Amino acid sequence: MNKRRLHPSMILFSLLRGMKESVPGLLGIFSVRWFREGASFWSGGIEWFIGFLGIFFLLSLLSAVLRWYREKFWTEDGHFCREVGALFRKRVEIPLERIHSIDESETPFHRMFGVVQIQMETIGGDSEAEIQLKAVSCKDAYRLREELSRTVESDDDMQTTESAAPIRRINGQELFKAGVTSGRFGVIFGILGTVFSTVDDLFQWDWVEELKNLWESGIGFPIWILILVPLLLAWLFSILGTLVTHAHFTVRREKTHLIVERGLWERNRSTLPLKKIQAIHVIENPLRQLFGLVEVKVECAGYGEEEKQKVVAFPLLKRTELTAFLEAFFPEYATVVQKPLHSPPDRCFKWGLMFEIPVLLIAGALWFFFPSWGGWTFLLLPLGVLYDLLTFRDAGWALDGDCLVIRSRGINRKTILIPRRAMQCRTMEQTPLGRWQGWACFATTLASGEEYETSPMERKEVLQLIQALDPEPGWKSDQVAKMSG
Amino acid sequence: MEQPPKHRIDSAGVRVWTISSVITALVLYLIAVGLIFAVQYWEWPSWLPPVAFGLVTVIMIPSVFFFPRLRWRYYRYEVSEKEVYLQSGFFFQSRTLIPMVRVQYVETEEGPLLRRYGLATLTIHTAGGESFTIPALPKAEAHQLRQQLHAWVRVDEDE
Repeated sequence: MNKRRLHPSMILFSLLRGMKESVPGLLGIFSVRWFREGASFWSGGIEWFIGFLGIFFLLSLLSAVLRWYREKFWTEDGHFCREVGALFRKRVEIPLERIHSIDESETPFHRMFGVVQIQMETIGGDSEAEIQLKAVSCKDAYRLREELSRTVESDDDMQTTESAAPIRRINGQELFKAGVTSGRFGVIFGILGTVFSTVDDLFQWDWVEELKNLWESGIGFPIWILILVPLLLAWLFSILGTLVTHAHFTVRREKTHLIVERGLWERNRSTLPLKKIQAIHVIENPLRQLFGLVEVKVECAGYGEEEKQKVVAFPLLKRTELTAFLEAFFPEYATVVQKPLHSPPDRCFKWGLMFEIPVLLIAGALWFFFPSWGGWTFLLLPLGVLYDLLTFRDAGWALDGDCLVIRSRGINRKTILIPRRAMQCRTMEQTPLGRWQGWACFATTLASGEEYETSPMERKEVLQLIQALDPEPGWKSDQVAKMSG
Repeated sequence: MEQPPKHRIDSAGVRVWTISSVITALVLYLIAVGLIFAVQYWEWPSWLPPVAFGLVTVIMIPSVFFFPRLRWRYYRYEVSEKEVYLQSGFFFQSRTLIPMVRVQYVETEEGPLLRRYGLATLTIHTAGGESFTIPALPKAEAHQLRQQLHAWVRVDEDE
């Protein structure tokens, strides 16, 4: 690929953004003048005002044009190269195989010009590792993508024999179901709460008084409406949010890459090499678990931000569909997900009940000091035991070939599939209780920087796991001899 | 993994950690003394200083008198051409294997305190920003180990 510039529409984009960003600064300058000159602000002549804006506009236009003129990108000898900077020139070269993924996004403005914004993620978490190309024509983007997938292919003939490229699109019904069960309304409820409290600050309403008046005025305003309406509103917003972000959700596999497309307003396309995927998350929130639905995410190495490390691979699947989905898109993980899980030893649950003792003590103390309501806190005890029972029942692990499955529950039930190649270390962790009772946990850190720990298992099972997940099982040394002995 | 790793770290590490804990304790006590003045001049609640002194004492006694020794006693390491084997922690204990094919780079570090006792810390970095340290090795040994590890670092075929 020869040296090329970004699409000229980048000038417009950066101009618009520059203007948006300079609004607070300009306002500041004007308000200073306003305060100094008072009413005679305009008497200095409208020319002053227009002249100032004109010069400002010209300067930003000049810098935008210069920046566009100077920025070039191309590929050369298996490297991605980029030159930027009007005054201080900078040149970056990155080996293509170090580029982990390409994200393309386009808002309707981008679509007007037929361009996309490209973000490339490379190994290593620092800010230097990210490259953003603001406006690349679709043709160039396509070529860049092709070039990248070619490098991965050349050192890997893993799945090239397969001709059929699996593809899965979301349909309207699934999208709607995903929105209804998304459980994101907790977050939106929080946002609504903030909006509410700012409104409250602005108008200085005494809500309690207002409510009391309302209650006493006898309109028969039922209090539960006050709770239900915001909840319903939040729920509607969450459905809308899901519809907008996950509309047209399409996932497909092209040889060695996974391509995920989604979005209504802003369209996104992520291209991820399958080999660089660190783990697969199957997530069931309580509502979805009830209806037998799951969400699938993939975890990648090289993403700077924590949250972005996980890319949604498909927002909603029936649990019964999961195996087929994995077989089509992630064959590496398809067998392990069907294996029955090993549960933690029963005695872990019994000993875990010990941690309810502090709850009991606190409840007892509250009951003693506040006899009128303190007794109710004893209800926390059965709730705690129920939660323990749930987490215990959901916890488990399984190993199949090169892949480990661990399942756990916080609020959502998460099943995480981790291939051996992603594991940077293998750790056996033991608490004092575990040492005494002969159980331990297996833990590992992935190349994405995430650390995962299994639920407790028999100590000897942890040792077997550590041995089975050795990246070089054939290696002969005293270490191996000792581990097996 | 049935057996802990072979080697202990240098016992001078105990003294280094004790000293650094003492320094931390002194700083915390200084803050507590500052609270006395705050009570006098700004009329902060008068129960603050005694509570602060009590808390600092309760927290710092074990970390000055017991933790450094315990930490040394349970810290073990063993390095082979295949992998690095570490054991750490006296309350929550962990044993970790870091295969040499996963090691990205190794570095040594000496703070002023460590240098005073001729010690260095060896840190092993893997992908994803994770790192593992062997604290308090004799300086020469740390440098030698670093070179040895760099010689052993290999690239895995399936990556």
